[in-house]
Amino acid sequence: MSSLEPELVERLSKLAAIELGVNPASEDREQLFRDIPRIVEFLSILGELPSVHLSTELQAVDIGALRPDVMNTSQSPSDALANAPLVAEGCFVVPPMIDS
Amino acid sequence: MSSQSLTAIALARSIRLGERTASECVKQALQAIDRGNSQLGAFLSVFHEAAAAEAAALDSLPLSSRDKLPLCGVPVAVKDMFCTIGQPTTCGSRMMEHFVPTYEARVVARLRDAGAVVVGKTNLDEFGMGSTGEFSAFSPIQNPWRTGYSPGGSSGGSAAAVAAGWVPAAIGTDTGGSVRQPAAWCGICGLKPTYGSVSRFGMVAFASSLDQAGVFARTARDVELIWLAIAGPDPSDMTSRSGPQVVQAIPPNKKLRIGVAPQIWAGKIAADVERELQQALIAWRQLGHDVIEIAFPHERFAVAAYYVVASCEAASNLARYDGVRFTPRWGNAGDQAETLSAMYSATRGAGFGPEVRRRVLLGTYCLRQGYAEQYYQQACRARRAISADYRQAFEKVDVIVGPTSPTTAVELGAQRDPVEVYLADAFTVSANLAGVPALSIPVGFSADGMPVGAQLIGPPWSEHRLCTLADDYQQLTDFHWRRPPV
Repeated sequence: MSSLEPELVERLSKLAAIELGVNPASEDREQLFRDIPRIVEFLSILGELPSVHLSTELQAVDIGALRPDVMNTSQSPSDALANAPLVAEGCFVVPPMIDS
Repeated sequence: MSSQSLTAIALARSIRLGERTASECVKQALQAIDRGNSQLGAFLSVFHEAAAAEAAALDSLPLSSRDKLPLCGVPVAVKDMFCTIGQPTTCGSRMMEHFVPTYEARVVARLRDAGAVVVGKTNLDEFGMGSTGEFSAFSPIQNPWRTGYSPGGSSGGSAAAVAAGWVPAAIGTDTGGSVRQPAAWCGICGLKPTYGSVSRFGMVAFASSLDQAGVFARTARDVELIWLAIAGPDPSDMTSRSGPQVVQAIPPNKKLRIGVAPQIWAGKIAADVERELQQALIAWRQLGHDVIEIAFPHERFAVAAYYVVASCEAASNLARYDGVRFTPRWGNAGDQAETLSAMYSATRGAGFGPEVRRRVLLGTYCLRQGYAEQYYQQACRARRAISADYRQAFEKVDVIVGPTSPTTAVELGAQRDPVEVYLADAFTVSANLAGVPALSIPVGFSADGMPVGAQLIGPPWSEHRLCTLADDYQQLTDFHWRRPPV
């Protein structure tokens, strides 16, 4: 678990859709290759937790039932599009979805 | 007396009574920000015209209407993680540099409903990820007590603005200590309320099961007043809940049982922090409160559990920043990408800073197929165990007291090991995992003159109890009134 290969970090960046090396203000690959394994090694302490009888339910605070599933007014289409970089005819405009 | 020497409570009262105007108070706050912000970098945007107009509108109200406004005319700063309609909301990120919300965060709306005037948005670690203020994409934030030192993070701008005396109160967010730790490093009070007590609607999400809006002020009584103004259920946030609608006053001179768990911090905190914490415990003992040792068997899992849960939730929440709904968009040829997937990767690669990308990658690692049991599920078990520790502790004591941070403020720019940085959150993250309220208050200074904070943790909905115990202490001491040199 502690021996993360650089290839794995590259694969994680693909899974997370974060291209490495395009932001000069951010850390370079080598820094990430050092940091991620170090952090993952630290997280291994969780393996020492006795897992019997402990629920994995996420919420530690009881928040009750979900709200009723009813329609109500939310954002208007124009509000939803207001911060998009490129729109046309009430839609988001994006590059082709399928690689040529 | 200058309005900047008053508490929020005293300031609102004097404006309600017509002794001073909201306009003059807001003007003084704006002038102070304009004079000092180039030095501290605490604000990312300042609302000169809008704040002046809001203050003038308050001044035009009849006295009878002002009586209904608990924060009448109080200038307040808000962390740039809360949506403000028509005003930029950057989250300290290049990814959100041009985002102008079309709706208002519930916290901001409730502040305004209570008569507060939002004077600007404060600087922060990008998307709330960081504990020094250095991960803002725009500028580092300075500690008003000593430039070149961190004010803490991620709500460092809000803490610095209150510590500098520019505003009597500010709002931050606290996912793992991001209100309490900067409060400790800046010598002011900072509250992370009960999870669900304050609506998260319009508060940009980092880790939804941990995030909670919090309050900075000089006094515990101001913190409580502002929490009451922003708390309450909200149909737009399904995790918000109603608590006690009327705060049950704690009888004067009621003796509380204070729990301490020195095994958690022994040998892990600076000598100055230990000394000032012990002095504070002596003060509470002298007030007649009992101090009782308690056990916290699962605390050693807290930091790892927190970083797994928070990183997994961040990886999910931040998936929405992809160059489609928010500007800017990056591509691999100018602003054009050949395919959608290339545009996603280029935008996220260029838009996210180092700490955000580190946590998103970590969350992606922990959520990979076949690994969720090893990390995420196990972190959820640890979270349950830590919550049970708290429940058992609160059967024996009313409040738990300990250090907020292992050290005083650190120097900006120092290279740090990421695990050591994460371990510095050891005393704050468990309150987020368990959803309980926690308040940091100033309890002294290090030998080199930097503030030290102590943390008070209580069971859900015990904010009044925490603030009362803190107020008892603040009646005896003046650490919260000392002013930094800036």
